[in-house]
Amino acid sequence: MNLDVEVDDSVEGAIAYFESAYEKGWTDGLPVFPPTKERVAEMLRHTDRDPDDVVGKIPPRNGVATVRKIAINAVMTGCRPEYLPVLIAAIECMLEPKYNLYGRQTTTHPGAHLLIVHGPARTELDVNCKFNVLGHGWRANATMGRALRLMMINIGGNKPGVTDMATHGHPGRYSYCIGEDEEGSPWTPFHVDRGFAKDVCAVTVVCAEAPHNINDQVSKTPERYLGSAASAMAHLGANGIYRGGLQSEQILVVTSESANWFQSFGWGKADVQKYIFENARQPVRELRDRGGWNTAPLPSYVNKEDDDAMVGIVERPEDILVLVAGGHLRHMNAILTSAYNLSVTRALTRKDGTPVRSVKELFR
Amino acid sequence: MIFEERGIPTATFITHSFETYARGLCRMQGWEALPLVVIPHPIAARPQDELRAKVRKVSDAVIAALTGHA
Repeated sequence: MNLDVEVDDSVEGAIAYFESAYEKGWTDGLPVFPPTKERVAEMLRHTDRDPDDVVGKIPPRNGVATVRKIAINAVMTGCRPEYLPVLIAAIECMLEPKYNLYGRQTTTHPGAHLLIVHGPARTELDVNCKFNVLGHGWRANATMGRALRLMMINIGGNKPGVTDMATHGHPGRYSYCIGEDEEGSPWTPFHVDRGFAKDVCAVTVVCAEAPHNINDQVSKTPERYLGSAASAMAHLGANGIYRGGLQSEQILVVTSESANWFQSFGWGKADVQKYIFENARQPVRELRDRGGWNTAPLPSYVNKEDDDAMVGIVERPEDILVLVAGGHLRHMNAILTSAYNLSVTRALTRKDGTPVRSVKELFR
Repeated sequence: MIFEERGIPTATFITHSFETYARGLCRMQGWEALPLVVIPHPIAARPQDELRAKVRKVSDAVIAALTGHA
């Protein structure tokens, strides 16, 4: 497929391009911009990598994702040229084996690729980290998340009902991109927990279900407040409760107000993770012969023969991924995964692998 | 596909609702010849007897897949 086409760069030409691209199956259903040679060339100036560098092969078609093809899809979704390094790093994340992209692209489960931007790239690219962080309104969030989906379609061969058997999907499949509210957080940023310097630009990608709000304006203690979150994260229909021993991670997003409120009780991020780990559970008797029972390993600490044994959603406390994001008011949000796929974090790097502290370091 | 590449014969069960999808994926992966054993949909939450009956009907296809005698 050659997406880099000669188009008439008039308004009528752009509309005709969208109509034609839609008919060819090159879109997510929304209008796309024509990836003219000029726009693609301009975007390619925002990475130090060569246009024909192969980032990897995207399943299930195993289409070759070159830097140029990433740029073409990014132009089509309306990305600004300087977003390109984020998208290259995101694709590198998704192609790590533990991400299990082949499985995520073809499963019946409604996962979408949640792109999380860390460090200075958030402010440089104006990535929303605060109010309506999972919603609309910011070009970087809207178009970068969308570009990943378009690459899954145009390079990876994703097609609903044909190669993608997701029964329902979810709206995040159009776009799913946030930044962490590092300035509002009392804790170390997520990418720092994963071994990167605070001032390094990094991204995480995790395949996740739709966000689910946790509203608790009343609880007076961290235990009671997090009890509301634990309940939302370990419901009987959740994938993770039946697959906690199968590469499971589950995500809790808290606002800066909630994070600072925890901290006012002396609770750090690890305390939140430990509490959710220990309390987001259901007894074996409720799970047996229901949901995904007996189709995947439970966490190693569970004796599944014991009706009273409590089944957790992950193997270890650190598998509860805690992010600070959203407007500065009191709310939490559970973003659950199917398990059998893990999040991946990578720094934005020069082509020699050196992490960058500004996306501008990559511009030519 | 990984087992077959290592010389281990396989028989992959799918229900007919997944047949077009599975054959398409096999083609994309360069494995058009992967032996698929198709049984009627659905299989989730069906009685044991019904499932056994569905599998018995395709036993020849399973043997053929595993022995290479189509």
